[in-house]
Amino acid sequence: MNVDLAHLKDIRKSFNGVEVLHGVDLTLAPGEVLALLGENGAGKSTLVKILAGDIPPTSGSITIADTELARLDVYQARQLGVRMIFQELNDAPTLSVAENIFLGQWPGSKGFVAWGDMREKAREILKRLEVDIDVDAQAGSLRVGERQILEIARALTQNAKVLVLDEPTAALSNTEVERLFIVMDQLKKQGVGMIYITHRLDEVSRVADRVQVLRDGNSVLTVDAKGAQRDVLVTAMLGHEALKNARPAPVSTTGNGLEITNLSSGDDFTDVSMTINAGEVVCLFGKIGSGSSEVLESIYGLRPVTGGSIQILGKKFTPKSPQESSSSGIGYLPADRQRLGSFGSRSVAENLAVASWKAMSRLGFVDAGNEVKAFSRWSDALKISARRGPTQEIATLSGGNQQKVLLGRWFEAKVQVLLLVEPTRGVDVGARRDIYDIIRRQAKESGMAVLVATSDYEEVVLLADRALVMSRGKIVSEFTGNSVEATSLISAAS
Amino acid sequence: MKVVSSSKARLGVVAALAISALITIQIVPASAGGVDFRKAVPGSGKGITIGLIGLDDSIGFGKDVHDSIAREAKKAGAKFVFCDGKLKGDVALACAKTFKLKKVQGYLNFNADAAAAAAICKAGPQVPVIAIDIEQDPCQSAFMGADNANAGASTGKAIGNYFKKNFNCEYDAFISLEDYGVGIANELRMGGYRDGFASVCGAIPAAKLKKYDAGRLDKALEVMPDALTTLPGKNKIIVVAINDQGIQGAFSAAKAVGREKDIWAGSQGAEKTVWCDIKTNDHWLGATAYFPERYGEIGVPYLIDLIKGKKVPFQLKIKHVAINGTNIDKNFKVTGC
Amino acid sequence: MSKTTEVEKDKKRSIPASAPLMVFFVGLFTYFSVASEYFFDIENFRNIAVALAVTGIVCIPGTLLMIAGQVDLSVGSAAAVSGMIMANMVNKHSIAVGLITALVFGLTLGIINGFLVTVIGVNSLITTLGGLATLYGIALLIGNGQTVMMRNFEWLGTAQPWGVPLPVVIFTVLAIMGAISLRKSTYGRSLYAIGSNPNAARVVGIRSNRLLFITFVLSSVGAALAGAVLCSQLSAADPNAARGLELEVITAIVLGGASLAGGRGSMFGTILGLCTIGILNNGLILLDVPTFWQRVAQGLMLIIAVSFDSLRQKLNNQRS
Repeated sequence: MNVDLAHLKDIRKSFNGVEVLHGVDLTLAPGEVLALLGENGAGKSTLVKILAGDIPPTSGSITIADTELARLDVYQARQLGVRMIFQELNDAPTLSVAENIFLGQWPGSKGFVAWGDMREKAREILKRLEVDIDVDAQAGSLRVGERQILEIARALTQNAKVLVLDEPTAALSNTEVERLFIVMDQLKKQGVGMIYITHRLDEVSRVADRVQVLRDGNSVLTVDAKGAQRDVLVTAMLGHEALKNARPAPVSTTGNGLEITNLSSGDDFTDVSMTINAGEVVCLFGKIGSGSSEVLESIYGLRPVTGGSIQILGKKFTPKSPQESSSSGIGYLPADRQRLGSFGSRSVAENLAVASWKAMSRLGFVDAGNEVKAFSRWSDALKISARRGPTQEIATLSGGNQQKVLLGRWFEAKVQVLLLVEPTRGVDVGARRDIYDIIRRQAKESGMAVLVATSDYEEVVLLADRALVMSRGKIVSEFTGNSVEATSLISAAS
Repeated sequence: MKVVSSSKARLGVVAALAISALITIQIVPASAGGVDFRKAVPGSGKGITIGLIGLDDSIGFGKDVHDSIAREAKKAGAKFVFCDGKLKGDVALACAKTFKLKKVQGYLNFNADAAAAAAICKAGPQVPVIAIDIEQDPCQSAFMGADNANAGASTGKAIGNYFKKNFNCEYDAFISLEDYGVGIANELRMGGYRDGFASVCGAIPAAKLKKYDAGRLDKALEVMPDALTTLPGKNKIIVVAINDQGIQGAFSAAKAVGREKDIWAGSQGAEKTVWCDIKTNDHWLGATAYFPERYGEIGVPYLIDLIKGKKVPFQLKIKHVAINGTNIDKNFKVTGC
Repeated sequence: MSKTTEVEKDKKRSIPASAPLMVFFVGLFTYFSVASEYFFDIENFRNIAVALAVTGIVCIPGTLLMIAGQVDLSVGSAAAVSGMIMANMVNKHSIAVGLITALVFGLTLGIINGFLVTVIGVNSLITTLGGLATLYGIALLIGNGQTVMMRNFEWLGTAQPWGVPLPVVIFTVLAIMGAISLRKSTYGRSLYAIGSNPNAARVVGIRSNRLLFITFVLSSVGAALAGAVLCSQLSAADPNAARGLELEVITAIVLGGASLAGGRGSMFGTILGLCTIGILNNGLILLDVPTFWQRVAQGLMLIIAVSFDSLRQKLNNQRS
């Protein structure tokens, strides 16, 4: 079959006179999955937004299903079968699965929804995708991955031919990712073309037929996914060779930082014991639901402890509340940055200083100068790019930069124990590397004990001095130094 | 300081009371008679600035008073300054201060908060003041307005006369729809009804007198069906209410149970909204008129007299009239019924 | 050095939060000064300030609360009850007893509100809406629905040390204290954090409940003080006197740039919002604008001013 589903030719796009796409080509065949790689700012989002008719290109042509257009609008794009699936959910959590699949276009007549009909059709579609979801369940009660599949199902009911998936796996557990891939396999069989945007290189060979890499608004590499070398892809994305995994240097034992003994919390985890030395970075690796992030929540006082004990710097510590914990020298970086981490409408300086106000204030008054000083200290060390300086609202920064500010928050507070949950979720490759470097360096320099809960084995490999693997609420194995590597981690966790 | 209207919650209650005197406890004792309306003499107010602190323009009664005073002031050739008191003492206080700035030479004060009057008197210009319906102590030079007891008595007497003529003063019950929330004014008006009626048909026996706290439209609608249930088969039931809306409610309720011909009613206000009802319903025996649309015909000429140094009686009471189907056209221009 | 100048330059590029309202205020002020011969007059300014002071006193803790994402609808009724209590106490005992009981009432109410919101966990809107109704009832009960005259205690509301009315002095002092707390103190900063993201505030170790509790107490005490001042101004306590105060307060605060969702706002903004409403009300009366049109104009001005602010935010976002 020679006919492309979609063909973007020599697409250029400028914003306010600054060109961000310099003549990019992209083709997509029916039943093909094209992985689109690139660091944040490479132009991926702009390119797919042009394909979806969200923004017009400055020049270039767009051909979708044999229709060539100089520009198209959102309505036309939808007519031609282009659909976008975002990482953020676009559903109505209080409505049922069936209603969500037909959201806004419920089958029926004269303003009445034909419920039986709708549920039947919904079941049919979910069956076609080979997923087992109850059509009467409330969408909000499903897992994130399942809800994403609902969105795909919705796109299908609207006759999608070209499906753009923008980082759909960022918030998914491994099983959910696998389920999504199975759904994508089904879609391929039905001739749907897909553009798959991701940061996870390991997913590429699993799901994609071809890979296209964008860098700084240029298409720098297009290859078959089968033989694509990981190094080649990384080099294409970064523009230089990736740094080799920094093998952890042996840790000098300078004394205990955090010690937990037989810690339990109901059914979430039981009998978890570990000792983390000052200056050491330990990763607690496990799939979502394994209990790894729950251990950190319990240490910080966000989840009740039902058994066991905790010692910090050799002193017994009983978690009561986040307030107690933070004033006892523990820092906690939550996985859900927007909801639990950042103060969106406040400045970066304030977001960074918030945990140190006590130290910065006299008689209850904060010296704003100290805040700004703290910010400039860390913005250099952490490579935070806030163009408008310390007063810029944090919500206007990229995910990676926000995360750096939140890390800086606890560095500035000089905590002895730092608990990090999924520290690089949703952060692009370049910034990820920065963050790992910073965490490792800061741990060594200030003698912090760092405990990281993560479901990303790549993160463990790049970050950990030592790795503990959790499964079903228990620690199942431990790896140190050079033995921390992907295959053994994954097999231990499953 | 009001961008978003705020006193609406209370307006429901207050607006239902056609007359402002009910807002306050400070009622000037009833006096017999009253003064005649006198149209302002053109040119009599030339070169004079007069002010009015309004009750609240969003209340029909207050607006009628405002409009009539503005009309008469214009007729007299005086400069007229208005400031809405919005039922609040502090707003009226601010009004008085602007009057001082604008150098008004005399003003009418319809401030609702009688207790704040002293502060208002002090803050405003030291010029002649005529209080409207609510005492403005200590600076009022004259008091104009309703005469509650008299107002009640005039319609009470009208009902008595009707019953004497047609039923030889025989009646089954005397239902009184009152509003205890307004203090002594309720006593004066409702007592006035009874006194007026008694002056024709004799004192009302306690067994026949039924009082309900249901002077408002919604309350009357609620209470009347039950009241009628306790009087099965009776068809000479007298109903009087503290205002027109109470009687509107009473008739609606009676109609709903098919007994609108069993009740004979009297009300207070004779507002525009019930003119047609009064004209067409021969069971609405009387409604005392308060004439807010003619307040200017007392307030303006007497204020000008005061400013010019003439002597003016302290009491400037309205002469109330009991309006019914036969005399309504003499007093009001009723159209479109 | 070069870094700071860069930051300075960048700062200039974004329009400050109060700028649109400031422009609006200055425009309005200029217009009234030209249009009315009575407006630009020290006596008139004094009148405007006095008219604003009572609402202003309540606006200060109100701003703190709204920045923390909370709202207190009971302030109007609380001021009424405070006035009723004070008038009775002043008549029966003494000025000191009156003032103290009024403030103790405010303190108690604040503790109840704070307890319900932070310990029991009732939504503040509901809690204080209940308070609004309950307290209005109590105000009516105290005076049996009537106003109460109060003798010999005008000075709190009408004294003019150095030509400045005392209520205005009280308001100004409180406003400065509020502004400093918001900008400089850990307390004020924490309120912004709580309003911006209550979950994150908890996680980062801010004692949200304690601070909210304190703020609810301040709000009720502020309302009680305002009630006392109002009562003294009128030499009388009217159970209806402060009806609707809560809406006036919210209007001024929102006009001043605070977000109903919390996390945004400033004391300066609130004061500017208050002054804008004050000169608008005063100017319209001086210009003899009919009452009904005054209401229309006030509503429109509110919409226009808030639209300006939304426009500013849009412009700022485009520049970033």
